[in-house]
Amino acid sequence: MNPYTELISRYINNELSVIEKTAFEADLQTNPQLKKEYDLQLQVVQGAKRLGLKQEIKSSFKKTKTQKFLKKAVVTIALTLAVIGIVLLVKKIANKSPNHILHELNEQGTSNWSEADKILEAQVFTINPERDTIIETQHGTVISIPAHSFVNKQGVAAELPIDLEIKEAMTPSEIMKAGLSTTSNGKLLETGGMFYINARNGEDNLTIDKSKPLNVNVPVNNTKNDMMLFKGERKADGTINWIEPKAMKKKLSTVDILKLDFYPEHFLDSVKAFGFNNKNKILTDSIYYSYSRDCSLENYAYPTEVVYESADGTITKSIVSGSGFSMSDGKQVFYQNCAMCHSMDAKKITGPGMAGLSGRIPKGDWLERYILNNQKLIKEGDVYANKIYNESGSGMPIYERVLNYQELHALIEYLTQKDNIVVDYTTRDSISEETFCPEINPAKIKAIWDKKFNHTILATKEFEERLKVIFTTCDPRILNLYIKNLTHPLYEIDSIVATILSGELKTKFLNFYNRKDGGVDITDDQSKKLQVYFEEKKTIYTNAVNKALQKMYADEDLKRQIANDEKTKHNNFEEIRKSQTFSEELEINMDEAYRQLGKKRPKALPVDNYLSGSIAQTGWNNVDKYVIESTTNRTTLDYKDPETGKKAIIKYEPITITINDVKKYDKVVCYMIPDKLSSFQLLKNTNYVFKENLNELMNYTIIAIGFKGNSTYYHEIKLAKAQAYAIDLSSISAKDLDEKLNVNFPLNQQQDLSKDINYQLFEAKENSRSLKIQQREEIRYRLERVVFPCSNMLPSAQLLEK
Amino acid sequence: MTDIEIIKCMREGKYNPATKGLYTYLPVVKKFVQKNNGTKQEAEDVFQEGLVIFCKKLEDVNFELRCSINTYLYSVCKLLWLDELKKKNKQIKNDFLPLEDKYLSEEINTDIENDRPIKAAQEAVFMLGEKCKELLQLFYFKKMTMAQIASQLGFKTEKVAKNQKYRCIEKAKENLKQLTH
Repeated sequence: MNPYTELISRYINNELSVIEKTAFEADLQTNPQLKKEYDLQLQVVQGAKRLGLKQEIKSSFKKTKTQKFLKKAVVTIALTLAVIGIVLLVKKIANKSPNHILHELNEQGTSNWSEADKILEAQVFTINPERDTIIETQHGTVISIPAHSFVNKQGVAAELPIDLEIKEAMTPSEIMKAGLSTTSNGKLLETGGMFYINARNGEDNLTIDKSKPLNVNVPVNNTKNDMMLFKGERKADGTINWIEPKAMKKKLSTVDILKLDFYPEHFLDSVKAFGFNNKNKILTDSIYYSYSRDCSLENYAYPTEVVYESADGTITKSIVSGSGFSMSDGKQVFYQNCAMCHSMDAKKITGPGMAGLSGRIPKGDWLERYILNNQKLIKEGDVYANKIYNESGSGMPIYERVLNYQELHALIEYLTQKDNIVVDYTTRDSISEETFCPEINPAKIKAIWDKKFNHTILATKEFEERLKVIFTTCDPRILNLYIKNLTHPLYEIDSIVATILSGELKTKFLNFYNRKDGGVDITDDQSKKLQVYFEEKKTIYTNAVNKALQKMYADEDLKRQIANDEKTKHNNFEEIRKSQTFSEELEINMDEAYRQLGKKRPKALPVDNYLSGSIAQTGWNNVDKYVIESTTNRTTLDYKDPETGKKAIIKYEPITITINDVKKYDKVVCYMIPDKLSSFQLLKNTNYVFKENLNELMNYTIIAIGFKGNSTYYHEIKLAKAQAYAIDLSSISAKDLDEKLNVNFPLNQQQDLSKDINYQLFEAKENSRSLKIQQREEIRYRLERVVFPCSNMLPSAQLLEK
Repeated sequence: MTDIEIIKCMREGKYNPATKGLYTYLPVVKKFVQKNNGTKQEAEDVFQEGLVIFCKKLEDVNFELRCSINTYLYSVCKLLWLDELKKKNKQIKNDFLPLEDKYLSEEINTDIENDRPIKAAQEAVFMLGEKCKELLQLFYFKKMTMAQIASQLGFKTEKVAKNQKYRCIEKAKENLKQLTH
């Protein structure tokens, strides 16, 4: 082994002691053999490092290459531009049967037809070019054609009905049969289908007015992110080469908005848990909207401009105006014309990213000239234009006739503005806690959950999903963002929302943003109208609900007041009636007691004294005292006159009545009606067993009445005995009951009974009414936490278990 | 990714995102190599070599980028391919022009010249057996300790690994001597 290797290695790795190191360095100066070995070894160490680096880079390179390859395998849709054809959704217009049409000249004015042109059957539609038309092809491609979008050779809009001819090859077998290639400049493409469209007026080809492009929606089962639209170029050999890829926007498909669920999370479940039919939308709506309340301070402090970096490092910039986030014109121009190929960050799509643009392009009017006609610049030999062409491998479309002066300059201003800075989002701090209402007013949901909003970004499954999260953001402005930006794709709004939020919620909206869910085409005018509609309805609903609730509570208060008055009246009357019957019974008992004792009863004792019992005299008065005691307590009088030894006995004997199935009634009352008194007496109710003692001096009729809702149940025992009864009540109409009371009892008794029964009925109703209110308020209180998830700390799921 | 972001990634050893960012510069290099008697594969090799030289340049703390990465990388790759062609004694197309910027051109030439002996040493290490190659890379590039390497590569003790390392270096030195003579 080379004697130096270990030593040098230890020196390089700094493993030598100070003395060894000094000695080594001295040796290095004097020993050329060591020096040579040292240099060589140093070189090897660097070589080893380089090898490590090289392999690291190689593997990263391979990884990237694989990823890029996968991305390139895009879905190709071939669009032979020039012109168009198809089926009608709105109004079906003369769909001629499919046939093989081969006109003399193709859309380019040459007779250079490809194989595919000859093999594929054409679908021909005749449309009125002066109207907006939407057509659907056999394979489901939907094409919307604005009025006057076809022009003839002279550039004049076509007026007479025109024939639209379309050929489609959407399935692999069709594509193969038609001999269509899937190569773009020699590169293989994965295709989702191809179609050809052309419009003719007789044999004359028509072209599309560039300012009124057709909108094509292609059905795909498996949307791949980098789907592109390629233009077909016929080759002399009958094949087609696909060129000029354009990114396609992922459109949202709208559904019937009323079929979506716009309630807060767990709302329907909770409603069901409280025993309501959650399938009944009228019911669930009325429950939900009853929580509408006015939160008028929700439009404060929007961010005016936001820059936002997503997890993967891409940067999104959004410019928003103070009130409604409408985009500046330049941005709008950018998104309408450029965003398919250019991002506003450094990311390259088809063309380069726009970040740092002003720093790298030539000064002066270069950008303007480049946008207007880049191909002219390239031909003229402009260095930078050629550089871009070489780097991206393709030029840019020409915008000379597409953009007007204002649009062009708005766009340039937008592209070259200084890199935006994050503007602090003015926070809630500036608004006092009392006035800030974090919840979403259900009236707003009612306003948008309306078929007027069909065919907007709100009528989508995607928005439905977002809305559930929006409820939990506790920031009502976020819903407004979506409502006020109907013309924008969802992902743009998501990005703005993500800048407002933080933490887990931010992540959620970042994830939404990263899905790049698109928009739904509506015009600014429609959007504005819907906004007005929304604002109007929101206010109307809120006010209507508030009024209705106020009225409801006021009515209920009034009813409660009436019931309280009734109760007081009834109690007062009962007090008098009871003392009346008591004194009558006492009167009878007294007479009987004196009779048994064989004495004459002293007259005209003041009635009040019976009850107070403040009798100081001895003698005959003692009898009174015992009788009063016995009558009050309804216990047997057993009195022996100390002077005569004679006895006075009045028996009170117990009667017990139990009602079978007593639980099924709201209330049961048992009356005993003595034949000798002017009114009834009540049996004492102890846990639904009715007990009282009967006075042997009287005959009693017992009637039991059960109340349940508005119905009454009845049983009577004539000549009731002192014993235990178990009775069943049977249903009786109010009229029959009246009749029975009328026949069985004298007028006085009957009136009192009727009065009491009516009161019992009223009280039963009143009890069930207030019970219902109590239950309703309990449910409302609990549901409120579900409807307004921000105002409670308990997760709503827990509430269900309660 | 911006140049600054790419440089940051490279310096932090995050080669994957950096390479992803730099990959966009590949087509220009490819175009050049393919125009000048090269294949796609050769273009990719040259590009990777260019990346290595760029990366090594970043190791210098005082490094300052005087032009865009794109320009630098393209120029390095151009010169590297020129070298290759010279080695193959193939003709260079007339339209191949030298770099306009003299200073940049000089700087890049220096970078390539400085890299030459190291690249040769890399060859020498590459010629070693698998275990040696891995051991040296783990120690000098990944900066792992001998103890970690011993357990990863299955050496009984750290001492055994260390002795193995010396033997590997010795062998590489021998290889290098042969290569340079």
